[in-house]
Amino acid sequence: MNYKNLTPQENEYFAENELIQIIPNFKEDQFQFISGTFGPFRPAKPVTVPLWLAIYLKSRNKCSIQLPKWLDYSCLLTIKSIEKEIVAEFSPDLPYYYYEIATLLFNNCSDEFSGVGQQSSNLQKLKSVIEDIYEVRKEKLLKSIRSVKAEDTPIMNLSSIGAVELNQVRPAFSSAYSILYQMQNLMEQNADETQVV
Amino acid sequence: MNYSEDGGSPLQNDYGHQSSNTGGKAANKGGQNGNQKKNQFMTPADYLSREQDIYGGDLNGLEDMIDNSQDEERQIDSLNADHASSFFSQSFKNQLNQNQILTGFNMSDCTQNLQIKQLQQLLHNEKSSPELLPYQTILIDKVTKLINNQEQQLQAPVRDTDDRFFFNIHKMELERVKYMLKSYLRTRILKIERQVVYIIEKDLASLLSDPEMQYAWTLYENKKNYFQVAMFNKIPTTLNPFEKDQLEERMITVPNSSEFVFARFLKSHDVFHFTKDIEAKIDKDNIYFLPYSWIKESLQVGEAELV
Repeated sequence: MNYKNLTPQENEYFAENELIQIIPNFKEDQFQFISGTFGPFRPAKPVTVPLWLAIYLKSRNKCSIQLPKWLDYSCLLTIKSIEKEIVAEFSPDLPYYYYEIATLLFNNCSDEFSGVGQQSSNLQKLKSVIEDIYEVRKEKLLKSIRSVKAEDTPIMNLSSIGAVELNQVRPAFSSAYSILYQMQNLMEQNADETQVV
Repeated sequence: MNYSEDGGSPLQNDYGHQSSNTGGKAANKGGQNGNQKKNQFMTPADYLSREQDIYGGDLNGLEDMIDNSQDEERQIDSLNADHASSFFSQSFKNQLNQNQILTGFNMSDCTQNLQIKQLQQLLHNEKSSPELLPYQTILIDKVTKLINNQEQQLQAPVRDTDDRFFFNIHKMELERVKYMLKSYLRTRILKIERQVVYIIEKDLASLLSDPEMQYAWTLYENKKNYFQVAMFNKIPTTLNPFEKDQLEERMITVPNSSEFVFARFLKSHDVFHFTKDIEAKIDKDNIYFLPYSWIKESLQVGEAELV
């Protein structure tokens, strides 16, 4: 078992720790958690809670979830076009766990996506645009990480890349570049030694 | 989604127990019996229950103590876990602001415990770094204490259905934090098992907690005994590297410190000197792909985190 790589499930766990806003329909005092205090809960008053709690309450019909600002069709379309335009960087308008958060929300509160005046296919449109962004960013990441020169300046700014993209390239590229870098160092050492001789 | 029912973590593999089993097998091979093994080293689970044992006798007094110390223990906005923490809390606030801008939510109505956020950062660092990082005694002890306090509070019987519902939520949260702590300890155990010869030979005890060091020693001794029985008894003593004062360098697997990692800088630098020839401009909150040895110092002072 490789401890280095995070599984998609682990990433989902971390994504569930991110905060989101809900509108509860019950009355309860503050939740005194180890990880913080949330609440008090009053009907129709927005409250910030971790995503896992929001999903749990939602599954019991105790609240409705407020979608984050970036999870919006027109907003995501803009991000997508920006992603296609800029080659070297990644749009900072998406959170690190954007893919996981979006998937969790799609799967657990699909009814929140069909708002007033929206077409019923809103959810499908959102899903496909998230997939598109993911594909575009994946291609860009592969391209830029391939251009890292282990022998010259082995550093690459990936700006605000997401967890899901990183997870794909981490195992292969991390070890491959380590070997390249070591070989480079060895070659330099050899070159130095021959110069001395 | 419901983690509370089975009391387990999102991922069911409990490596802490697995590794204790392998240790147990080795101990038996070395001719020690099971009872001795239990006293010799603690599994992460033992470690969790350690503090409970200490307070076990005096429950009433403990409850009073919890009431008084709860807010103090949670330390919502101030944190003195270690030297890097003030920087950490600052950078965490920045992250929160960034989060508010991204999501469009006003998050001022909740307070988060920075210790748990820091534990999450520790876990990420530990998972991605090739070397074993120093054990964060103060932080882990505090989190363990918080977990035990919460566990004590959740022992009261609940009858009301409505209360039961909220009780379950608290239990779920407790299990989530416990999972994170166990995951951190498991990652360390796995690393220790891989680098056990390096840790013992290079005397890196300062990086390990006491139970971890005990575990490493037992593992090392048992490995040595096993090699002795399986092979070295049959060949001349001069060929046995363990008989020498020190193992030869080439026989120790050294963690590869030039391994490439993904790291997020929490502080901007106009010019950051990685080596004497190479410098670069570092932007805050950006993720970089670079050799671990370059970021090691920033990592130690908490100005960067691995992802």
